Amino acid sequence: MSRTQRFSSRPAEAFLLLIVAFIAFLGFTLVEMATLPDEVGAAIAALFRAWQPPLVLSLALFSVHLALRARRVQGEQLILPLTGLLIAAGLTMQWRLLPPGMVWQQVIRGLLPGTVSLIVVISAPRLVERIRRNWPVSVSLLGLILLLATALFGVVDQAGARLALKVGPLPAIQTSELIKLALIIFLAWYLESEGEAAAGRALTIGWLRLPPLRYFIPGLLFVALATLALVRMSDFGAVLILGFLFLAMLYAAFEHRIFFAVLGIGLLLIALTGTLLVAVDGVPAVIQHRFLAFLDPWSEAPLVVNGTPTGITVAEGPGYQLQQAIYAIRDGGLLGTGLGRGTPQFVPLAHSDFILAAIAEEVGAAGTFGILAAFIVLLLRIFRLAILLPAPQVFERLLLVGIGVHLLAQIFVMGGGTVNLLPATGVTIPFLSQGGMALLVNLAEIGLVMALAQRVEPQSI
Amino acid sequence: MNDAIGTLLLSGLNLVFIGLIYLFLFLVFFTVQREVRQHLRQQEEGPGAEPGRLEVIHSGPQSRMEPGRRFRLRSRTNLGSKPGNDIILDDDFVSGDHVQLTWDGHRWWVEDLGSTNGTMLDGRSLPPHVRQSADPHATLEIGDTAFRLLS
Repeated sequence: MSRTQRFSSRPAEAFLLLIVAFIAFLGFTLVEMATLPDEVGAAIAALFRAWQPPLVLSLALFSVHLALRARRVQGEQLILPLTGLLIAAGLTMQWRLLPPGMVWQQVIRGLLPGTVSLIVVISAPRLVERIRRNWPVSVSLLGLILLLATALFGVVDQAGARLALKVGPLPAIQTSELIKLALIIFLAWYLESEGEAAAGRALTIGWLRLPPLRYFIPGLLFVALATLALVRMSDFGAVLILGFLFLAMLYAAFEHRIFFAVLGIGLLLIALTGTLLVAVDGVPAVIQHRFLAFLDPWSEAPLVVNGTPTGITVAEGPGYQLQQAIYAIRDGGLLGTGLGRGTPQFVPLAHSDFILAAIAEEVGAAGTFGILAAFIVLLLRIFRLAILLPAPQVFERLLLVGIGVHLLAQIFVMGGGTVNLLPATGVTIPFLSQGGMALLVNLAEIGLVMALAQRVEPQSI
Repeated sequence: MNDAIGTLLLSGLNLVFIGLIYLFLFLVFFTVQREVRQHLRQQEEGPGAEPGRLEVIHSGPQSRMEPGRRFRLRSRTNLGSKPGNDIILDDDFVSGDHVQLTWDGHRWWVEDLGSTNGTMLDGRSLPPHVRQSADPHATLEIGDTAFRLLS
């Protein structure tokens, strides 16, 4: 591969993207064929309508591919196709479950701005440097302000959670997604700037090394404040993910002995805050219900809210969604019922939180494992970049770890919730679930990853 | 269209859909495998921009090197059978610490580190523990392997 070429060639990426485009077209066609009208003209019109979203998706993916080639980025040809495959699977399933207008909304609010932000971040490789030097405090403060504003003035959705902020006539913005990215940037910056100083002055007590607490108080306060705000938003999934992020980034930033010391202090604080909250408010009803449903989705025990019986059983209330998800997965079997030919619409929220159940029903265990494998490889590629980055780039490394863990935590928490291995929490699956803002933020994260991939010595493939 | 045939066609196409996901994954793994192989080859040759290379030109029965294999040299490169050497020769006729190559910025120097079976530079046996300068394309025989210096 010569360096004088104007465009770097990325053959593996181009070929994989071609397969992704084909998968998207086939998926949409299959969904449409299941409900095709008998009249030929109407059938052709329906198929043409169904081919528009995959066409937009393919164009978006190939424009990112061309942007990468124009930047002469070498190496890392797998992240973009893997992301594309996941988005293709998600859009196919949404086309199956939602009216076309909602799918177009996902494309217009999530995919297109996401693609633009991906290209912008790739074309501005200095952006990460600039965030690190000039804006870490502003980005973190902006995140915190958004978070507090949402917690105080947010719109309450049907599930009783405040996840969106509505300003004037604008459509409500799902702020909880933006906040997570702001937190990742904050933690990366904070652990880089304070971490080394703290590690240098650590006190050795037996096997543990205890860094002076004053280095950690602002960070712990920030995380505690964020946790409180998220609890106020009843976004317990986000609290869990924030916890994952904090743990993983601390682990990535420090040697083991310091990590365990800080972990101990952190857990103590969390336990304290938790006890305090429970003492003041009692365990929130949402959590009680989810835990009851988790223990036994078919439980006939009466459901009690704040001491007053609601007149329905756990099985009729919070257990229903889990039952339906389990039925859907069982109906799918190994190879699935076929796209458009199952009944995943009986699972509440099948298009967002429980999309894995819908996928498992229609493409079976085989298809679901394929998609989960794509997720795993995507995460491995992100962590691989974090390892390959030149040593002094601590902020960048922590940023990559944070982004990877963000995706991992969401898949883990929600995937576990879908198959009833964990209590269900309202978390979306990245790239698959419906939600424009989530897709936009996740694509921007992939943009940051690809921007950092340019700093890794090219492993020409 | 006959209903049974239509259902069969749809089921078939759904299998193709799942199959394509696995084809995609297979190609991803194939790409990763190629990358790993390339990485291993690079590691064998060491990092780039080094003062020279050593190419295997002949190997006897004891040597486990195939002719044509190349190693990148650092400005100080140790060869021997012990782990910890820059180039490890798994050969009964090679001593633990056999020979050291040094680049002084202009030319290569070769020093036999007191090996049992000795080192041949351009066909002549090297005295132990004495540095000798080597020509840019000198041949070096260590144990059952002959190398050519490429600088």
